[in-house]
Amino acid sequence: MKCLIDNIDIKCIATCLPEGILEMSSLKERFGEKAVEDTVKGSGIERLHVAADHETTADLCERAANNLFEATGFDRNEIDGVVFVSQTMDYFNPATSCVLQGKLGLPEECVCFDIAYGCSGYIYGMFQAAVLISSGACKNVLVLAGDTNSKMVDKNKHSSLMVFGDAGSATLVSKGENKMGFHICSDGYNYQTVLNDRMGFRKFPENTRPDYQPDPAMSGDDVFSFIVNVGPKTIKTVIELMGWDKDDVDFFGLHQATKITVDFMRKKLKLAHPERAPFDIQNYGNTGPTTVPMVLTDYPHRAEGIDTSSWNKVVMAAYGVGLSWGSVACDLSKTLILKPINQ
Amino acid sequence: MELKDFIANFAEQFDETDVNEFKPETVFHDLEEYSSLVALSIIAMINEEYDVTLKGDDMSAAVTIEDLFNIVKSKM
Repeated sequence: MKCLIDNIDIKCIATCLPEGILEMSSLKERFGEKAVEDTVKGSGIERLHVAADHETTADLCERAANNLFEATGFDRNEIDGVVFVSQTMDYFNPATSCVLQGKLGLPEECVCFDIAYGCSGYIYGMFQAAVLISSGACKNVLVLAGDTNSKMVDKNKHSSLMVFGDAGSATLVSKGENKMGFHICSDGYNYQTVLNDRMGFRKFPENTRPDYQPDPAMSGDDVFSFIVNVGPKTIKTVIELMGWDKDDVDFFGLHQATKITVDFMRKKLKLAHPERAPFDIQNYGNTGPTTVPMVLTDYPHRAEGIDTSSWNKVVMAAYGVGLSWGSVACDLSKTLILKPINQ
Repeated sequence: MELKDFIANFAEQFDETDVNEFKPETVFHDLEEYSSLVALSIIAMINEEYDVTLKGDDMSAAVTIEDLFNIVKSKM
């Protein structure tokens, strides 16, 4: 599916990392020096931000959203849509978007729903917000995307423990003047490539037993093959849809599974300015649907000489559980991009 | 697509292993430097050079470098 949607502005992007930090170097004693060093070499991740036991994805998104309202001075009563994108919701029900609508003090005249996606989730959140606005249903949609992956990973498996971190985000999407391009695809034929069957009803009641051993959640080689196969294509598709040239793109906010995937994408796209597609997760890890907004907010507040007012042509791309993947093309030159909380 | 070039591209994914170790009959899973990270580099190299995307099963099924070459060739 691909489409262009007119008259949409992304007003502000805010992110929040939890305070807790896990240094990869501290894991050498537990998993062995070589295993830790090899994993860091491939992932590029030196530390993760990890949520406390009492801290949920919704809490991190709430802090990001409050920061957004304070920084923009935007009136909360003007919000008429909330989309929460996450695989780590507060409850099975009600929808966490409803809980957050209350906590954030948003009006009753507000449509709220959750989207259960992982790494590709931000693309879905942005698409849903743009469609709500374009249909005339909403004027100002708050997209809250985040995950507390550290609560889901197998802590005895260093390959996943050392990659997935926690974060939340808030993005304000409003009726405006800019054009956005979307390309979204799904491959449910291979849904088992990334699978968590510890919750849900397909394996009920086995998955409620304490001795239940779930199937391996992820096949690393197959996930990488998937990204290699679909990543460059979706980026090229959305650039073509917009009528842009790839070398005119001011910034690529790419999903960052690991350093090796970002390096591959930069090489494959043969960018004249590879520095516009940075690897950025060395200090916080793969944060699922938050990775794209984290790159968009962390990088300009960390690297030197980045002026986001020049981000007239931005491409975001993400790929993950579903399998699902997609890309968004938009203008962020007038977007307020806030420094991540606990950067 | 030449086996000789494929082996040269394959060898480039390794940093420490002597280049003379890479022969058609080399059992690459047994190379000391071979790791999951090197496997990903090989998948990426094959995608870039030959426009073929291998899956994890393809990497496991190949015993020697020539086996892998033949799998890639069959998918081209």
